[in-house]
Amino acid sequence: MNYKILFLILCTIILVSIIFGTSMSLYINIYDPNWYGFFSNNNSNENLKKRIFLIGSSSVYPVNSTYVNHQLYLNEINYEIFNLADMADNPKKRLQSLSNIISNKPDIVIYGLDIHNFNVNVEKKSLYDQLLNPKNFFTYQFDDFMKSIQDKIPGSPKDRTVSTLKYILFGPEPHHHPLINFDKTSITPIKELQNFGNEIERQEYDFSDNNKQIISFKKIINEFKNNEIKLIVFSTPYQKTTANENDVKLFEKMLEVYSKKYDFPIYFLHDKYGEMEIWRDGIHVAINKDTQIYTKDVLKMLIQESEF
Amino acid sequence: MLFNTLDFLVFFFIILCLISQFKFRKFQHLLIIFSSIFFLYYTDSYLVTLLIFTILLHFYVGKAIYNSQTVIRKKIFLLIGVIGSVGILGIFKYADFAILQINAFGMVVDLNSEIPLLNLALPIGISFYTFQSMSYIIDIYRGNLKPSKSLKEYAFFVAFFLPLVAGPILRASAFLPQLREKIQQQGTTQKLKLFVIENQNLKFGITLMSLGFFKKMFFADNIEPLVNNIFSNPIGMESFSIMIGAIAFGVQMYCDFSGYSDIAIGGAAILGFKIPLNFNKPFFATSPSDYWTRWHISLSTWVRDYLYYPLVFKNRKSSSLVFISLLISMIVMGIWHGASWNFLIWGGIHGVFLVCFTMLRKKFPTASSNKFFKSKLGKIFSILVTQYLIFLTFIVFWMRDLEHMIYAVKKYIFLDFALDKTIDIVDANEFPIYLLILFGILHYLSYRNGNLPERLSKLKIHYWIGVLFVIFLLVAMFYVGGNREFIYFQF
Repeated sequence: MNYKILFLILCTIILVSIIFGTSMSLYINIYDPNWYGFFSNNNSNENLKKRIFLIGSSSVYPVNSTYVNHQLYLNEINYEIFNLADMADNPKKRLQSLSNIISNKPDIVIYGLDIHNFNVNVEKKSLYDQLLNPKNFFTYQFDDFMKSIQDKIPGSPKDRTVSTLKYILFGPEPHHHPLINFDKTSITPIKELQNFGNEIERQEYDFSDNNKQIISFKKIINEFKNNEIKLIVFSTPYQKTTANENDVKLFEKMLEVYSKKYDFPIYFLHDKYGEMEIWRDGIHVAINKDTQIYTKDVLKMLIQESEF
Repeated sequence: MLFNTLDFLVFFFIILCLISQFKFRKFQHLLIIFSSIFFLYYTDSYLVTLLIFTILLHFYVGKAIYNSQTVIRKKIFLLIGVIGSVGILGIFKYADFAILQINAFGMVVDLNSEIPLLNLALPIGISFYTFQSMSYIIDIYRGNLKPSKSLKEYAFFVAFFLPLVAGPILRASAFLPQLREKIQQQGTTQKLKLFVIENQNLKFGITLMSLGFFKKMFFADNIEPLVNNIFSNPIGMESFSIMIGAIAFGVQMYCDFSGYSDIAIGGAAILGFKIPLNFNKPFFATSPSDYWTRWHISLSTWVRDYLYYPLVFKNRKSSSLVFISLLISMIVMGIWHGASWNFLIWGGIHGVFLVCFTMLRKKFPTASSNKFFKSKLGKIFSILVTQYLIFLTFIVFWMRDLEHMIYAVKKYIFLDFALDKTIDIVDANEFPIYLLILFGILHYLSYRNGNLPERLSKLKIHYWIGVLFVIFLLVAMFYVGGNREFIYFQF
């Protein structure tokens, strides 16, 4: 076997991996609300409004920033909100792109935190189960390694590549929802969601100071404080079936403790809409005109906390 | 274990490392057999036992056929082997479909009772390894092949992990001699070939595998949303939308399946095995019969050699019986894909096309030497007509709902010339449309320039690495995400 060929292939794979890894986080690291693309006529219009950044995972994404902006405009409030929610985001991932958020100088950051950001591992199955599903056996052995890779790769690299290219050439589309394609989604009847939580219920949660997500969350809070950016935190909504009561209480307690310790307001939305017909699945509110209640609550929270 | 996962790449890399480091024939041989069984166990859990059963059954049946002194004994053993293969296929793949039809018939005649469904899991690759095993015993029965002397050798042929789950369907007569290649002239007993990973094979294999990944992960997976948008609910769609859907599915299917075949053939080439191509530019076929020499070649030649030829040989004096044999062969090929009416209809339509083409050729024997059909324009005309018919069959292949199928086929044949919704679909699926255009250009270039993988693999090493770099980068950057199964895994 020619080792020169293998060496070159290995080098190619490493080079491709570096370019791939860099480009996957490129968009979130270079995103600038004033950028309208090389081929757009708007790039001379610098936005003078104060900025509010809404960050979090896909469970924050249904907040309709266009609606919020319209309400702010009607109330003659000189703020503009950008929904920077990203797929599978968590504090650890967000920390990596925090410098770009801070350099864009938002006045307020609203952070939607999801209880599922703090799960640590899935329940281990018996040897018999593993023999029947050999793939699981190997998955368990390399779980931590695979998670570290998955943390760096978005759910769909293709979407991120296309978004980045479009952003560079034509600016983000639509401008207030830059990181995920803003597609309408239909409501799933609650009855159909009854079995949804089974998989998630098996997860274990860790709200202690040792959890890497909590360490990252604290770093994020400190960074915002140091840069005089007002932080508002809320727990993102989910359907009742997806987490057990004890974990929810621990999650609430953890947020309350940090809220007092670091002096930021906290709002709980996680159990507010459990019985309402607004869900796409157990952890995502549908993006739909009939699900505006979530957006309206975020708007209320914003008005309450801001010195307009 | 899907080819397009990290699991497979790690698995294959470990095997290559072990083979290149431990140059001990028996170890290499057993390594491939056990890793092949592990490969299927990892993919399909306990259903790997079916593969082991098939190997044992056909190995001993093959020997028994060869050692039988009378034709009747040979026939009996052949029958046992065929029933064994077809029986496994029938129980696991077609039993529920048959029960459903019986229950439906029972409803019509008011039987007031139903046979419960078996709901058995479909073993992955079962259609491929059972056909492979059948060809082995039929070849021995016909006297075209000597049986394997050792179970190891036969197990290697059937279980070889690269073509195991989605083909190409190997022929014992082509594969076993490669295995039996002597390493030294002086040996009187046949010894198994030592796996030596040669440079040219390595380059060719890596090139072919890379192109396979490129076809599957760059083209097929990214074109799929366009197909789903159009075909998941075609009612109300315009003719041109249906046409775009049919073309997109044809291209998706080709990239998906030929991508899998390329990975399997490329992987085997690295290990020093030559597996014949399974696809040969099918979208440039000039007639329905030409198409079947270019699409899923290993299956079409299997059906030709083991079903169509025997049927034709019996009925060669009556042309109508020859046509019926053709039709039966194509229907069997259709039903091989799955227990569903749409596959049966798909096979039937291809059968009708072949019958019509054969009749036309008989009626106008000089047509192919006609000036027009020999000219470029004539060739383009033949390609366009053939492809129009072929893409029609892709609609039938996709749609299991009969109402949807009939609507879509009607729209495909009787054009409505409406464009409003088609423009919306094109607008909403810009990326897959660009990919279809890019595929057309690359497919044409590949058609014009002959064997592209071989040409690429013979480039100077820095150009070759450059090509691989572009392919790897495009695959990574445009990876859709999630585990995308190959379409032919379900067959």
